[in-house]
Amino acid sequence: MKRTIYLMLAIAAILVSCDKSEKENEQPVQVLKSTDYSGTLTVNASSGAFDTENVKVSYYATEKADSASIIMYQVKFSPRMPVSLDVTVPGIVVKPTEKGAILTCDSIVPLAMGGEYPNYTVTGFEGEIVDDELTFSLKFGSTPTSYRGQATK
Amino acid sequence: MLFLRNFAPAMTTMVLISLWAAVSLPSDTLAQYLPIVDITAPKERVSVGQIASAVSVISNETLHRSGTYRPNQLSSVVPGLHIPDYGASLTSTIYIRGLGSRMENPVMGLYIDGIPVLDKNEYDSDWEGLSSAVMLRGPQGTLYGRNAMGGVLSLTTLSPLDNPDPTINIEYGTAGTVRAGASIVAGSHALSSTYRHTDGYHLNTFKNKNCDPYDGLTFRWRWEHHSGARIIMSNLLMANISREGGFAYGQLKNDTLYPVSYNDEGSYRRLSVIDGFKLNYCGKTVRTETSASLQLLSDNMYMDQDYTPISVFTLQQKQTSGAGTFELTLSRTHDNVIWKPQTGIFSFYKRNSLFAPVIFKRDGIETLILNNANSHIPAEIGHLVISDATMPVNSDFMIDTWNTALFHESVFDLDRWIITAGIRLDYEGGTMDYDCMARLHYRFEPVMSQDKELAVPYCGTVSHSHLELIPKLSALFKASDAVTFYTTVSKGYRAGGFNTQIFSDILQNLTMNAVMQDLGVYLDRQFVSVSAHNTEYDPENAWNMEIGTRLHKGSFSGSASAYYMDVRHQQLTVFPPGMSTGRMMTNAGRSRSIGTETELGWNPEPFRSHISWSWCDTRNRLPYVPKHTLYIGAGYSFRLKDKTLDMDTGLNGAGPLYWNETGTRREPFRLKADCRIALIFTDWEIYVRCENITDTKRRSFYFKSLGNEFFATDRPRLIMIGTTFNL
Repeated sequence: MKRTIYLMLAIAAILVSCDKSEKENEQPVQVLKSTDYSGTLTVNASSGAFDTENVKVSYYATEKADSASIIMYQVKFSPRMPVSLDVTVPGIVVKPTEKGAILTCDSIVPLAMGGEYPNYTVTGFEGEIVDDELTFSLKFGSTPTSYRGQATK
Repeated sequence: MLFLRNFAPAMTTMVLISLWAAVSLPSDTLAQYLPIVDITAPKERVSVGQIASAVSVISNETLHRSGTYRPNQLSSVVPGLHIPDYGASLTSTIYIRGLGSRMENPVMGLYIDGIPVLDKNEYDSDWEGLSSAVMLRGPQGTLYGRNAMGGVLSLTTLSPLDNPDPTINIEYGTAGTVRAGASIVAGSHALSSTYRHTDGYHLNTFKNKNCDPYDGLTFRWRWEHHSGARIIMSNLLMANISREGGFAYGQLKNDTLYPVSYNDEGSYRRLSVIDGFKLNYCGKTVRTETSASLQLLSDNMYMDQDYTPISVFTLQQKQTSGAGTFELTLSRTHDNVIWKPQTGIFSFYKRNSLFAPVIFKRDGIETLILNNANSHIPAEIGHLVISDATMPVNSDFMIDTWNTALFHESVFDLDRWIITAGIRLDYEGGTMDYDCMARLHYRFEPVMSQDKELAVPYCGTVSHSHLELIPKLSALFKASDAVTFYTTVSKGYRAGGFNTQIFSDILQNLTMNAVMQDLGVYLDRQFVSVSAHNTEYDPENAWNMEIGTRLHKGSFSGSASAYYMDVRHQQLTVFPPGMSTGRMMTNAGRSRSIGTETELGWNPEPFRSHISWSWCDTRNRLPYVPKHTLYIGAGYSFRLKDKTLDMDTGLNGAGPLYWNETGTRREPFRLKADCRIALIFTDWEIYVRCENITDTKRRSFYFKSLGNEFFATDRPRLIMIGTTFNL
């Protein structure tokens, strides 16, 4: 009887030990919530690059946090553009990392002015969230654009 | 030079009248020299002839002979008074002494049997059964308060105590015009009523029918009761119901004025009821005069705001208002004393429910809204489309106005001098609740394939209040029994208010900004407009310094006055900033006007004549204000056995005036002639009268709408045949 009890305790100890070592090897990841950012948008227009300061961007995560939308508020793609637009890039794939997430998406049609806006199809989207900072680059149509912003309180 | 050229004739007249009178007149003929000595104006402690203000008195007989039955027919007859006839009955734009504006509060107070008429929309109604019209010119704010800045018109209806014969009058003429009136006195009641119909005078070529027909009925009942020697009670009930077209505005293109041509409804309906009760009690030493009134107005106006055959936009303005006034005055019972003080309080409260939707129609949506909006949006991005057939911009207002005042005036009758000093503390407040809503269905092509509904509400409350101190000091000197000189320093004010007309512009711009925001499109040039808090405007007030003289000798009477008016916070109608379709009232700062007014009358039976002339110069070339007004009237009564042949004619002119601030549109001085021939029997008469004999196309109003220029013209030649019975 004693032997049986010792054997079971030994097995239990081994199992606990194995479980602990597995958890110690696993990377910790964050579940990103919807967050607002403020930062600089750089547009490499054909007439030259120009920056727009204090551009507000909202990161909207889905419920599972595996995809997200990014809304850029009041952006211009040319300094001579007489209007600024709210542009939504939907369907961004979110891959969580230890300090944030890596954001990617393939060719995707953004939403602007009340509907899909194929003239400015987004390609080459690459971005990441690290701590409180959001960065991404993409092409709106043929216009390379990048953004770097900090989360707002 | 300006002074010499324009002041000189009036001053010369004054001096000549005075010298001649002082030298040549005996001093024992007061009664015959001062025929207006028995006429009083409400609230005045002395007769009209002893008031230190410019005064015009028009008798019932003169009103009848000249065919005057509306306030605008007093234009030029009262020197300096200009009430152009255009629009509809609610328009009643009044100019006097360089004061006045197209919109909002008038510069003239109107009293009927001592009851103030609060709403300008009720000023223009047909008269019947009047015994006199007295116009006190210049600011009368101390006794009359708000809006008595240019003067006060006091109408006196037939009193049961006058016991006049019952009268029936009917006339018919051009444009199917019928006017019928009757007045009768029975016991302590005086009743009068008048009906007028016209098919209209101006053809709307788009609809191929006249745009300004009129049907109106006015009823007046006055009851007067003396209870012993100390109490007098009276009640005045006035009602007017009318239905009319209007807005006879022709477009000016390439300096050619085209006929009226608009496609949407232009009409005005009005029901107004005023009931005023007065109770006078003469104590042994103190006389108490109490008056109270209830004033109800329900009217509804439709206007094609672009006045063109295309469907741009229309305006409806429907209001229901109720008001109550109260006044209590204490004065000394006996008038034959040196010191004649009066102290009073006045108060009124008015509530006005106003519904004023602007409907943008298809052409208006395209030209006013979409063209404007899409001009801001780069074509490569897309363009806005509004698919609605009409786009309503609804505006509901509830406007409350209240006023309370305390006033005192002391008249010192010192034999040859009459000194008057008075002061009034007048508080007026108001609030406006606005509840506005624009609603539309839009899409942004090519991005959106489906329409999206958007509603833009705009609600809130604005309020204002003002305190006015209105002093007066005057002196009248009786140089002889026939000649008086006077000088007056007085102040008056025109009430402030709220610009309700501009809310459609505010909503229009808010809606466009809301559409853009809903789309996520931000224009570098936002749609700009005033906000509700900018719609309040302040009272306008004026100091008046005036000298004048009056003379009455036998059949001759004359008066002349010269004034300088310092106008502050002048209310002017302006275009608001941004893309706008409306106008708004604003306070333009400081201005001044100087002028002279002269009246001469010579009435040796059976001849009669009257001349009224005024000259007015305003700083900044104030639009719509005529530099001169002139009236020359003459008549003669031929005795033919048992009947009389009356022949009267009148020339009436105003101008030159500028239609705009820049002075690019100018109206020269123009005269129009009227005449009347009457065959008078013992108890009845038959007459023919003609208005605007020469069919002069005198322009009465100008404005710009959507870049187009429009003019209104006076009524064409009218020939009327009528008869009057004295039963």
